[in-house]
Amino acid sequence: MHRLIMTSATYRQSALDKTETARLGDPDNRLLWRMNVRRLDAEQIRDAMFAVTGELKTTTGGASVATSQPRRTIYTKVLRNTRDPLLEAFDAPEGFASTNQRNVTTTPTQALLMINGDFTLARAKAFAKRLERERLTDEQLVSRAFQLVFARPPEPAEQAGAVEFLEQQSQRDLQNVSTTAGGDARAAALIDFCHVLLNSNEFLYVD
Amino acid sequence: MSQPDPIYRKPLYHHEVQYTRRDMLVKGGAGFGALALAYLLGDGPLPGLAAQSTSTGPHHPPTAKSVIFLFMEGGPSHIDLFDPKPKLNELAGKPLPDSFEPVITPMGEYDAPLLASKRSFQQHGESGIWVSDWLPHTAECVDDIAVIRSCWGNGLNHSNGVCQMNTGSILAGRPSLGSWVSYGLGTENQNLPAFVVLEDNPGKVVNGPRNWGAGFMPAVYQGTALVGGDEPIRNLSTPAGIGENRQRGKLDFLQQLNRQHAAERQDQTELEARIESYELAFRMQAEAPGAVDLSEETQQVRSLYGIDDKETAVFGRNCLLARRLVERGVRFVQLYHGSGSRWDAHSNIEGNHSMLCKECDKPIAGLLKDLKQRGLLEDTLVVWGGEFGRTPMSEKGNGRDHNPYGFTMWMAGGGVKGGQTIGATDEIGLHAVENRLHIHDLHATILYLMGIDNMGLVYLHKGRPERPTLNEGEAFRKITTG
Repeated sequence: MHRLIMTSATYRQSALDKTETARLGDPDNRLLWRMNVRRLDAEQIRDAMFAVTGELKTTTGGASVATSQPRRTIYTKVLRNTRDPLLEAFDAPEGFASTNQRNVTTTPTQALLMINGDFTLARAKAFAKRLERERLTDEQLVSRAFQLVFARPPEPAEQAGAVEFLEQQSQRDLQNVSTTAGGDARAAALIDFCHVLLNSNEFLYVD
Repeated sequence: MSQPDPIYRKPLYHHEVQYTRRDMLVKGGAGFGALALAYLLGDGPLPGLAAQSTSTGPHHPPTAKSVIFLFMEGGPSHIDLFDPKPKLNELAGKPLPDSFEPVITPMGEYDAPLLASKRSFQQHGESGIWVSDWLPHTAECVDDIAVIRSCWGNGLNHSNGVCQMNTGSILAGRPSLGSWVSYGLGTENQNLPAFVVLEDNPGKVVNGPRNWGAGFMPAVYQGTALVGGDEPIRNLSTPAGIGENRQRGKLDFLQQLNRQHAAERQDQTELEARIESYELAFRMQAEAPGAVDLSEETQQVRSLYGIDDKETAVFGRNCLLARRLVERGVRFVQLYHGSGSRWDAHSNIEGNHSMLCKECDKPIAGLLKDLKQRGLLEDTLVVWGGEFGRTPMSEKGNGRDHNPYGFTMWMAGGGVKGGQTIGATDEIGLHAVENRLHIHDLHATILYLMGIDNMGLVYLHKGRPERPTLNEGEAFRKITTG
């Protein structure tokens, strides 16, 4: 039954708009002419971040680790009375009873956690380091980052926009830069760029 | 997934999904900014649908808009505070007489003799409510208080008891009462959470954050524990080293990427909702710190709450914060006093309760007086109590064991008629005997005052209509009339 559903042409569609006719005729997609976008589950968000930044340890098995460790979430400890903030915010079940269907919420708490929280910021720094190690030009760097986060190259306009962001961002709040990237405004801007990509809808949702 | 409202809506396969206002709030993130979000997305209340919902908005006109729940964690002794028992002092030193139904005590001192109360009780106010000399400040407010002497529950241990007082069940996994209220009523202030928790001793409360967890409901309904310092809500501040211009630059670039992404995926409201959630987060950064900035309060107000005294400062500050939060439209504020079962006086109840009463009495009275003089007490319900009371039998010679069979809580404001005593325990304070009110009844009463029918507030979970009081409990409506 699952195979029948999941291998069907309908189920395998993408969420991208196809034709204007379809969109105008059935904006709510009740005839399933496209897939609806789906937000990644909590564990997927955490795993995907580690994967993108190059930190993920791909070993299997072994003792469970703290959620701060770069292993897949399935190998992390679950403490029901002290939940991981990221997993909790993105609707991982409480663990007291079985859950037949997860909630999928969109909240400012998630936004705060993603844009201000330590975890995502640490991933952004690791991601920036990964890119820096590769010694790329700005253009190459943007392409590489897009490839890693979105699994596609940037459109020319996106590339230009990203390069422009890097330039402008390295001019902003220069007095604060010293604490984030050792005084290197360019490095700080790259961290910000990485941080934004990890916050983006394209990263958090699949088509 | 959004929760279809049960009862009235049958599954309509391959049909347009009709969203109620509540569904929209769930998708859009209730509590924190949901109403604003739904409104901004142009998906406000859908005419017709909202009216069908069994759980949209209040069911009847509320008398309370907000609740402040003062949780004395560990179990305060009702027979030494609000429920005087002369007979107990008469029988002190003797075993429990056969005429009282024996109970299980968790520490198992079955034959321990009865312990006299060393407190002196007096009648206070015009109403003549009895209060012991441990709570002289609360005693000044009795004419606004309804003392409920006949509470009972099922949790024999702290974990069970605290869990039931919060969720209705002694077993973990159900939503907290504050979550039900957020789900039922939403928030009045889009930039603050609807359900806030303040601990006097952070990280120590028995069961931890699951006491204010949303259980099987979406995480948006969970309580937000405020932490001290410059960042009252977790992740509220821009990270150190990132200036406001850089933060704004990042948000602008993020929204640029997100809008481009959404342009190729039109009519997918979730994407718009997430775009908006970042803007709301940015606005919250502006509003929330002001809500918790006590420096705006006068010296007079600060001393009313006992903030200038070392012993009362911690809880006084939390009580004052609670007032500032309800003033700004926060629905449900829960304050823990004695976090980490500090009220749990198995031995030396004299020393233990003297200290704890001293810590919380003045702040609580200050809160009641301040709410009253600002006209806020009219629609703010204040609830006081622990997870259970304590036994008339002694433990370790000079302490008391847990007593969920009969104990006292009180309510004030929010439509409650003050100056009344409700129910009674037996002659020694062991069992509730008259007008017995189970924790489900107490929860139903709180919900009733907020305009919610406890049987009408429904959340569909695993195909079952779940209700805040587990399909039990009845509001004690006479609390409003005496």
